Amino acid sequence: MRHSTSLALFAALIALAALLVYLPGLSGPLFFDDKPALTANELVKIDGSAFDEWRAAAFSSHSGVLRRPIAMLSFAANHALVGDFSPAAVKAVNLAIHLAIAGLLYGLSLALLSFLRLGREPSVRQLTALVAAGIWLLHPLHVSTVLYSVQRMAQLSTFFVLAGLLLFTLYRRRWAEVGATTGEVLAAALWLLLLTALAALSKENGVLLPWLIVVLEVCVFRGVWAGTSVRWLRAGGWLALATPVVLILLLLGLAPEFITGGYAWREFTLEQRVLTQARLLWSYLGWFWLPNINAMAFQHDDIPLSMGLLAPVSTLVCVVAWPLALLAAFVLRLRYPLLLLALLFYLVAHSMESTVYPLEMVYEHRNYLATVFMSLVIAALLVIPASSSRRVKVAYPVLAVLAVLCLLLLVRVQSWSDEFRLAYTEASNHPDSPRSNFFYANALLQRYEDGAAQGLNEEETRGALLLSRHYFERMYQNDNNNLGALVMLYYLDSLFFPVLREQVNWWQKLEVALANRTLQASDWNALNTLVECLASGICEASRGQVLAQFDALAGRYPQSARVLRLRYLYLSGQGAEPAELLPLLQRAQELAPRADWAYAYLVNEYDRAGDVAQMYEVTRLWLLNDRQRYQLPRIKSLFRTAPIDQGGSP
Amino acid sequence: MTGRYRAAPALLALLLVLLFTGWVYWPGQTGPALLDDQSSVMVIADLQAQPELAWDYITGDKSGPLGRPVSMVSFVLEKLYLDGGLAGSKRINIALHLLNGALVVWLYWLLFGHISVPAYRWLALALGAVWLLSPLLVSTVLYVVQRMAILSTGFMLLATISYIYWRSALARGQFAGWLLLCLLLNFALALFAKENAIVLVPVLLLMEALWFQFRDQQGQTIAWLQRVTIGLIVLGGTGLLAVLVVEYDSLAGALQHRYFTLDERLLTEARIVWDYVGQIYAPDVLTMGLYHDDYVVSVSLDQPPSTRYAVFAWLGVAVLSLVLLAWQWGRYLALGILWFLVGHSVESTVLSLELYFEHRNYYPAIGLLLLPGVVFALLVRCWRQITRPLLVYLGCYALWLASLTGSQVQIWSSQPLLILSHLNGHPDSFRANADMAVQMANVGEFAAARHYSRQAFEVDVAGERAGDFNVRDLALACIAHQEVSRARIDELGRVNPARPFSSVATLLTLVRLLQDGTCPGFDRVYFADRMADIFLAEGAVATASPKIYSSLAVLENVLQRWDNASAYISKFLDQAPDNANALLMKLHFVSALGKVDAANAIKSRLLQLQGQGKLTVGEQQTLSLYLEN
Repeated sequence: MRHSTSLALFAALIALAALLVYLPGLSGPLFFDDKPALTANELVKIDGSAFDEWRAAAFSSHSGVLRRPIAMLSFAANHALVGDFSPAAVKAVNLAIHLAIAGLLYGLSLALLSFLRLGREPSVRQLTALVAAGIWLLHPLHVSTVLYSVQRMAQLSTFFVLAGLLLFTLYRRRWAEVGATTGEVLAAALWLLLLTALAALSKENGVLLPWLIVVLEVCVFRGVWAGTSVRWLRAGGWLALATPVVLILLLLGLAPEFITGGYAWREFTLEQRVLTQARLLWSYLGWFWLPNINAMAFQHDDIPLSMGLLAPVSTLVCVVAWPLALLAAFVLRLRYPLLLLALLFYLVAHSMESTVYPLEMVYEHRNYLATVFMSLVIAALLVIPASSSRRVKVAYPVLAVLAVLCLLLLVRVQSWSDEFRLAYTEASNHPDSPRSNFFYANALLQRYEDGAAQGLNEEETRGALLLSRHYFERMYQNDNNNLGALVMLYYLDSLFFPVLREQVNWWQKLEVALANRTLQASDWNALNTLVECLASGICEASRGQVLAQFDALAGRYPQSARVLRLRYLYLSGQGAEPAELLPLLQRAQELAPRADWAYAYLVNEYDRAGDVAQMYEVTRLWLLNDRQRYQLPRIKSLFRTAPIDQGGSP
Repeated sequence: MTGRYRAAPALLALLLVLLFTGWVYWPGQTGPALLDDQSSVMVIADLQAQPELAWDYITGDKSGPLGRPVSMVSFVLEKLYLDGGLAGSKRINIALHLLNGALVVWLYWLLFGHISVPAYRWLALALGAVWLLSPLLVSTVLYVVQRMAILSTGFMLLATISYIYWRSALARGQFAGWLLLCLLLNFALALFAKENAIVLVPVLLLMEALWFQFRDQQGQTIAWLQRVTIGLIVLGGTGLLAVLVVEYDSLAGALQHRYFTLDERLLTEARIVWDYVGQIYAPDVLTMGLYHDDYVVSVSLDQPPSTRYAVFAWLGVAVLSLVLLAWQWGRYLALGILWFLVGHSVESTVLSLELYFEHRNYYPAIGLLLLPGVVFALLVRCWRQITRPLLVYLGCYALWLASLTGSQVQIWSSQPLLILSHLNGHPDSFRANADMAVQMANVGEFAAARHYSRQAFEVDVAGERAGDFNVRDLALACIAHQEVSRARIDELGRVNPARPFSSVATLLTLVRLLQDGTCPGFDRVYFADRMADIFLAEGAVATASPKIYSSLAVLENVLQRWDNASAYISKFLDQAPDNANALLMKLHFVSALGKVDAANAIKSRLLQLQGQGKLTVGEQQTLSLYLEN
């Protein structure tokens, strides 16, 4: 068999393996951020018949400063084609993108290996590139990106970044040999700018593409132009590599509030984040090089923060290890160019999400792009020495590694193929993770509620309920101020365990937690649940007690419209009249002129009050403040459903 | 791809662009009738039942000096054979816009093909897509009466394309008379669709001088063409300048009824035309719409200060254009600039028109978009490799414009949304506030309606008469089914007693409401008495325009008070003695009063007019009813 045929067969085999292994995962759930971005996002659930629906859908995400329109368009297309957000359809597209990225990675790896002349002959390079793509494709660390629907954003961004890197490499390889005309350089720049825009409009870290190109330049092309090494180009590359770091440091020095402002909503400081990330970046590497699927998880909120360089001590080790690793890679760069490439690429690709920006601490999907050249290093280690050895057949290590990855992937995908199983696995593997416990407890509660439909007997459903309470209790025991746990225990004891309710005063504990805790996004969600519970009368607290808590929250967050929203939802659930509710909503609208919910509630309340003029006025303000017309379909729908349009034409 | 099929991909892409544009515009068909739609389009009767009235409508439009019969033919034909109502009319506008888009692409194709720009077909397509999808054109396409501008532009484009083929034949040494005929025919059709098609003449001359540069196929100058073209440009330019100088006072006098002088108009237009340029290249849809009556008038170079910058910037552009003339590619750029300015020369200079309308850019924008095309051509001449990425960037730009147009179309597809959008974009616009007042009245919110009506009165830069404001208040009360006290009717005519009312539309709206009996709480007899006190009583000093009188006559006719109705029409006829419609009304009233002699006198006058061909078919039919009795 010819080499190219066997290589193609091998590639097909890897792709088929990925397809087959991932297939059960397509039946997994839509959850967590999938809900606000997809299932609870009316603007993206379109039939696609009107052009403007697509525009509004494209900008309907609240994630990121650019709203990720390319990714949202792809979700809108999913919905328009299938008619709903079927998990299988959404995840199948994610899987297709995953395969396409692996294809790009193959092309990129091959182009780089050829330029670097690694491997004795082209067939070795082809195999190395294919194994690199295979390792990345089958790596279990990426399950939480591929099967977490909303992370198509990260996937598309990675796709465009790799397309840009491949394009650059193809151009640059030629320039290194024969030089280039100005037109050619301009054309390449224009294409790369376009791909950067596409990547950034999928997810903001796509803007890293130019910086990643610089990484390729300094690690691979090293200023070689038309067959000679050009000193200014080489120096320019290093300068370009350092510039963003200098700019970030300058920003931190001159306008720190630009970064630190966001930490008001976090339970950690900038210093703690940076120190913790130094450890996490090593942890991510560990998960990639030695995949331990028990360590991997959807949520990693059980990883302790680094409170200082010595707390824990591993922080200091990790902080010191990074410059040492870079130094070593730099020293060895001529002999092992892929090492410096993989390390620099990894760090630059992590620079947006794993450094100073006040995002949540850990997510595996941050490694989706960052690890592409790690897989190339592993592949090179597996293939290149073996191919020049007479004692070791190259197929053995390659097949062994891919088979192990396949197996680990299969196990992890299995747990992701069912919401309950996933929740159970996460809680079992991460007993100290509040979120993992919460998800499992919620899944158990859901099982209790759907017990009859799932064919469970009374004992099993009751067991699910008890177990659910147990996990919420465990969350509470781990963290006495955990609002999610407190709210759910309050709810469960009020509804199902009246005896326990007599023993523990959850309301009092909630008051303490609310007074001490820095509220984060998940806490506000918990408060929404609490308000639903209070408004429905399941959770008992006097109106005075509840309003006093809202007053206290308003005192802590005087500029937050969310407190007013909670108050509105509570009072509205209590049957308050529009006269009492409208001032709340008006204040909320003043505080957050772009919060669409305030306008929607205001229209609703003015409708109840029978004040059509004010309904128009609120709609006018909504239209005025929605300057990009993101909410236009919703605003327009007000006039389709009356009573706002009772009149005829003048 | 070689030979005859080389253009096929671009043609296929053109088809896709047209389909895409149609898709973007399609929701707009559900939008409302606006401003002049009421007077020019919505008045057309059910012609399927009365086809004999078709000619009346074709020749009866008063929008321009030539009557715009070609545009009216399209409305009449639509009414006769399609009649899909307002939505049908908008669908036809959308279809015509797509046709124009195809013509624009054809035109760019010919122009850029002539100067051998690489990938000129795709460039033409991309620029055509930018034009088709420009949000500034929404207020032309979805404003039914602006079919006049759309048709006119379509025929101008056909004439321009005819010219290019004609001069291309000439360059080969052939004289294609039929193409010249085609040019003239399309020019005539354009002119009779809307008069500003006259700008086609200078545009064609400039195109010959600046783009084709009088060259034949061998690159030699066609001397006679050069002489004729330059001669006509010089002659036309000088002539126009002379007319402007000589007729300046008369042109200025024509603006007496406006709230700005001729000088102020010219200064303001310097700013407005820059605003148009901005809206074409970098649109701000939030301020777009039909109403720009809040645009601040420039009363001097310093007030507002932007006037000075605008005027000097135009002077700079003029100097730049002159400099560009020295250079072959500069002349191409100069054509883009001059096409745009010449395209605006009729409506944005000395004539007594309103200051700002977006539809005025429908034709000039085609010229302005030549500029990026020429810049593209220059760039790809230097660096051929950037042709494809630049085309993709142009495509992305067109897509961005499409997203803006899509949202603008949604706004235009809903009457309440359009009203709110106008009010947000132009809070100081009289029309936007008045529209909101009517909308509030429509939904029964009279207090809010009065608030916006008062706001309209206060912000009106033209200075609305208190009487018109009061009449509007009464009409709003009527629409909102409110009681109207006699005291409020008594207020009418107290302010500016010599000329208390000037808005025919407001009074006519109220009269129609009263005529239809839709105002139960309104004492229409008391109102008619008050108006009679103002205009007809012994020693009354108030005067009004003829149509105010005819409106009041209609009201008196409803009340069967033919004496008063006849008196109002007499006042009408004092100002327009040969107005056939007024004479017919008079005939009706005197006949009702049994004044046989007077009726006979009017009949004989009407017969005279009929003999002179001055009666429409409808008027002749009405007259014949009286002649039978």
